[in-house]
Amino acid sequence: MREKALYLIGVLAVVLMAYNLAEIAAQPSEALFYIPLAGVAGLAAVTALVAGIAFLRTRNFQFDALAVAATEVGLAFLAAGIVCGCFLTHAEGGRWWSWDARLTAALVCWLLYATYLMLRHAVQEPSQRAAFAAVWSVFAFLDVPLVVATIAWWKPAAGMRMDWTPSRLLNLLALAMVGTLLTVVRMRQEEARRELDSLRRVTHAI
Amino acid sequence: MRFFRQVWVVTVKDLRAELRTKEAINSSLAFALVILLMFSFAFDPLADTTREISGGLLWIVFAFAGTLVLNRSFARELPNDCLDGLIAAPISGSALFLGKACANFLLVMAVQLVSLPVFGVFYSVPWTKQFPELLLVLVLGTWGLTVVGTVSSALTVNIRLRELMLPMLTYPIMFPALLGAMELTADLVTGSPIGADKAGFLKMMIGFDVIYTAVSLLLVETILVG
Amino acid sequence: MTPITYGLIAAWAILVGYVLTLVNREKNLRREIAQIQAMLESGQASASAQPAPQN
Repeated sequence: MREKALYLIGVLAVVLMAYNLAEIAAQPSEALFYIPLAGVAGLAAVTALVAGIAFLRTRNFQFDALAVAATEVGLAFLAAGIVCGCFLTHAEGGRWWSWDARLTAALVCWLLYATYLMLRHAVQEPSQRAAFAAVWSVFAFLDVPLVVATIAWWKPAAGMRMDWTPSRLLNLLALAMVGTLLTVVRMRQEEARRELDSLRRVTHAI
Repeated sequence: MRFFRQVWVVTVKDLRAELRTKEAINSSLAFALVILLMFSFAFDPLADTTREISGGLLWIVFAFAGTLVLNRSFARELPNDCLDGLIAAPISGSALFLGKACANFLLVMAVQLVSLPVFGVFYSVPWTKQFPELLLVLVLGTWGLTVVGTVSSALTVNIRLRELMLPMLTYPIMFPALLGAMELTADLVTGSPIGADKAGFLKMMIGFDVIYTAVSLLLVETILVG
Repeated sequence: MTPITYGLIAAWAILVGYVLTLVNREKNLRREIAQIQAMLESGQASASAQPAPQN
């Protein structure tokens, strides 16, 4: 039943993006994807924060699995968005990296959540890892508005319009559904990994 | 008031332990001077353009040298299970954290205040002209670095690659505060007052310090006890 | 192909790459499950081959 729901979401996402195909064909512009990709990454960060806090309150490891899944998916989407932005900058100016406020802020936020993943890899014990990761996702999330504001002061943003046209919103919705799909898949893998680890311990004990 | 007394006790303990051996503070100071020298090789120290970026260079030196001190802060408690003893002691985790943060802050400030004249001599910048404001920026930036660094030290104390993970955790979080400090110091160290357009950085640094101190005090219990 | 198309292809390539890491993870998980199942079965086989403990 859950598989069917996931497939449905996937098909719906493709349908939504095909809806925009007309506009893409008329005026190809990765502005259509650049902002929604970063938007999905932002949603993933919020999800990771909420899941982390929920874990700290309830100590239910499902929330920890959700946190790591959301962060990984968010990092993938943010990386795609940054690369998209690089190509956009190159198309407009000729340089691959302009120190545009949004692009630089996106890169710093990417590094921030990459340290989250590094911390998870470094801590071995599962409950300690989950607690540390939850604390760190709070720290990282609080930093995001500070980073965005500071870099905006440092190099004022110029260039592309930031408005949410309907086609961008549709793309955001479609990409968010793809993101949800990937998050759910990754979350199930994480829970399976945890069960496997405990099974392995039991088997060695026998 | 008991809370502050506990903080005071931990701070004094850490300072006393450090000042007896002076390991961290000596290596941190030597490291700071070495990096200052290397930057003088990399960028012509007497050129005008270097004087413009000297504020940024100074904070890179402080960030790297500070990490050496911060690394020691919880790592010092590992032998003989001192960390377990501290956690089991009847002080709250936040008192322990704040005490260590204060001790680290004083140590890193000491390193900075010694490196500052050396920096002024190498780059011949009039750093004494705006000294009160410069001191304010130093205090704000160092407190942010100390708070985030002490939390990272607590997180990484039992990890294999501790010396590698501590900087990797601290610096990305510090980006806003370091950027603000660099921008402000670049102005102040050359003797000009903080421009009106850069006053926002000052408010941001104060906000950064307040937010991260509050969050750290709330969450450090989880880190220490698990 | 305009340079813009390259950008979109690169962005989607990153997402596809992430999906591939997920697929890889799934493969590793299934392999470990098979491994543990084999260990359990061999453990049970050797346990049932031994005589029951005398009280």
